[in-house]
Amino acid sequence: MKKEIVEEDLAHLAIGAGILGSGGGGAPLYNQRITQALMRKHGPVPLMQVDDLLPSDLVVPVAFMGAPLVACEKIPTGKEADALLSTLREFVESDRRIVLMPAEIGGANAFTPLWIAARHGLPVLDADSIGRAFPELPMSALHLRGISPAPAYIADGLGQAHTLHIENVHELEKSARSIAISMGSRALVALYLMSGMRAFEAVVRGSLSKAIEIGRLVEEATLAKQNPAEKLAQVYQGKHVATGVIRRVEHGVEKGFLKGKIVIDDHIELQMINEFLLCRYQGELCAASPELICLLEEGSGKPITSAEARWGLAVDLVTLPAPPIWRTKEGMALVGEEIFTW
Amino acid sequence: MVSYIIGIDIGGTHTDAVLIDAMEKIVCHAKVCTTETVEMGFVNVLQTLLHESGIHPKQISAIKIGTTHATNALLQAKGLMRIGAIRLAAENPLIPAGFNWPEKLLETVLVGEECVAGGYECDGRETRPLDEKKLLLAIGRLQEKGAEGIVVTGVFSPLYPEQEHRVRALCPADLPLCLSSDVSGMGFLERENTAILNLSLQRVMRQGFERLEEKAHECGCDCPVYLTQNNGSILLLADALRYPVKTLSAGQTNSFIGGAKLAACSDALVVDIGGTSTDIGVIRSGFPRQSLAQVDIGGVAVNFAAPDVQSLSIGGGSIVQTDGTVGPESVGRELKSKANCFGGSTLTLTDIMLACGIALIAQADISRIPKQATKIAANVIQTLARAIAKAKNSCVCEKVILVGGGSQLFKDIPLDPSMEIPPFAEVANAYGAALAEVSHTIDTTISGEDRQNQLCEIETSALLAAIEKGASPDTVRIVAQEIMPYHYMPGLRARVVVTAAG
Repeated sequence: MKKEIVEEDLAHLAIGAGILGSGGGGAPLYNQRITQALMRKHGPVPLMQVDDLLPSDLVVPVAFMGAPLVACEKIPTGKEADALLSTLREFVESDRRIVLMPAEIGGANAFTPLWIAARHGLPVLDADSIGRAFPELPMSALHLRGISPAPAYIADGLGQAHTLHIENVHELEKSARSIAISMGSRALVALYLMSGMRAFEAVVRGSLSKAIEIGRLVEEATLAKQNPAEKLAQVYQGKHVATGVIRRVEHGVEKGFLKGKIVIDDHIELQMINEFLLCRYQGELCAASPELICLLEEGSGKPITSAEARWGLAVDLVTLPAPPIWRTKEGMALVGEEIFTW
Repeated sequence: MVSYIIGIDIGGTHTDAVLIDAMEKIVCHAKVCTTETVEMGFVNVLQTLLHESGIHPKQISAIKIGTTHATNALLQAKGLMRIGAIRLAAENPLIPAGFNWPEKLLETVLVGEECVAGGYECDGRETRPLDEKKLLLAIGRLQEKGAEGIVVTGVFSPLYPEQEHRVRALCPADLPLCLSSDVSGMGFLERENTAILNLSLQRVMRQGFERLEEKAHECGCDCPVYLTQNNGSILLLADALRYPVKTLSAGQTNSFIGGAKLAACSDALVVDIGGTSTDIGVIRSGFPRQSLAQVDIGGVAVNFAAPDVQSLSIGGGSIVQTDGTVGPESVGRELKSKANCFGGSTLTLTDIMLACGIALIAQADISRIPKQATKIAANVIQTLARAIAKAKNSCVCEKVILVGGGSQLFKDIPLDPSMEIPPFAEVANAYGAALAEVSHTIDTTISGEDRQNQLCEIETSALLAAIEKGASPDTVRIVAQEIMPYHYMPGLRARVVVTAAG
């Protein structure tokens, strides 16, 4: 069992998080570099398993909110993390241990708790709240389990912080987004904080080590000149749907979401709202949210986000089973493909 | 008076040159060894061309040069200026300047970094007003550490360059300065890296190329000397000296453009087989397709478009190991002394191809080549054919064109049904340089509403600007247009990059 995350894991994590992102979550490169820089300064990050949580621990899911494009200009300063942690500590008994956790494992935010943990000497929980990425805040296992999102905390690179006492997650999303925009469209958010006891029941387990393992498998397959999509389908009981070339990309930004579709080889169609949520093969439905629909660059196995897809790119399309939490009736009601308006 | 254009490729080993007429036909070509100073090799090859063609130097209307001089300086970390990096941001970003750079290059180039209050948000608000006093102190500190030049990178400066411009106004006039917004686009770290490399290379470019117009003059020419840039068009010598990063991938670009033109094809695949490696590039509408993936020069992540190239470590001089693998090491320019067939002791790809009766080279002795040669050759051919097939998948391709010194090795091998080795394939790089056009690129943002109108306006501006720079109104056209929607950004904006050339 992995006890810590080291620099060598980061490249694997970038691939694995990209795949679990199902086309969304933002490209992890800048976050990967920050984590690398801070690990070189402060050392590896301790990784905790859910079973090792004490009931009194405070589990803090964290993520950056805002425009992915802004992420490549507005690099974190560290003060987001400092302000967030010092604000939330005002509400928490001083002897409670804080354990960070990625709010979402899909995409760039897989790295967010890691660099904060390195900087503050905290452990990170091998878990997340979604098992992948989804476009909206309420689409989380924690919401499904009835955990309150509040109090939530939001902080920026100048060290400014707000506490949001908003119980309704839809209202919280609206407020948080508008504050994030006023902070320059990029802010660190912590929400659905929970005790070790509640986390034990509610979180999606093993997310970080799973993402790292996925990345390792892809790298191994590529070095052995095997098709990484084949390998993933084999190991995770998924399906290597096709190898082909992207022939059409139609997308635009609507209300802050990247919506549209991609056509591969004329007979395979992917629909997206940030993430790839639907796949049709010769007109027939072949995979749909909450299943993972992933595009890998042919040869390298590098996951391609919906924003990176372009005409002429040779790709492998692989689908992987949905994280178990989403295969329940309540789960499907929240994130099944009928929910998304096309 | 009939006029001609000279195209020159100054490589690490050889300098190739061609003389072309108004119909873009190659009238004469020459090849000399690259000398210690760029000037000498330039003069040599120029005089050789003039002598062999018999034309009068005043008939030359332009000299266009493609070179790997800057790239080589980076790869060897030689002759580079020492730089201090200043960041305009409210607080210092967690990723330091020079992060993940190869150690030798980092030590040679970067003396230190400073963060000065400043920077913008995505919507144009100043994060902090520029702290002018602290700026001057920061410059002083970097100079004390040995900085010979200063690079300034402000958050969101490509969209809002005003603070960086203010820095230029405040900076002492004799201090070499590079503003990141002048050199490249979005992506703070890549832009900072590009700007640092750019300033650092200025001295080595000046030393090599500053006096070329003078030297051309001494040979009797009174024409301008241009350098070719990454997108295949020309740069005034003065601009090339200010923006050396714009020339870093010009050599590859020229081979691809030259190859396509030699085969009279504007949508094609070009395969440049050299001594050490083979580069495969895609030509679309006569220009090499640009890479959208992270571009990396000498191990440093940079921020400018470069040709989308697939590189294989297979070349004429590639060393064949005992287990039959070919490359990546190569004897390079020492082929004629080291290869088995020339009496040397190293087994190279050239030896293998000869042994299979595939290629014929004078003075070569094929009796010393091993028997598994056929199998090794078959593997190499298969690897190349596969790479070509894969590249063909992603483009409209009428032909596959082989160029470069190693192209002759594959003369009789059908790597692809539409394969062609045009005449003058060995000097495709110099020919490409000779053909370089005048271009103008506009890289800007448009908003979602009224997009078509804005695009038309931008295209018209690009065309007019190209003509003003010297493009022929008859041939000027839009050669590249790319639209990248921003997500989550207020205002439904998109980034647009439009290039016109002629």
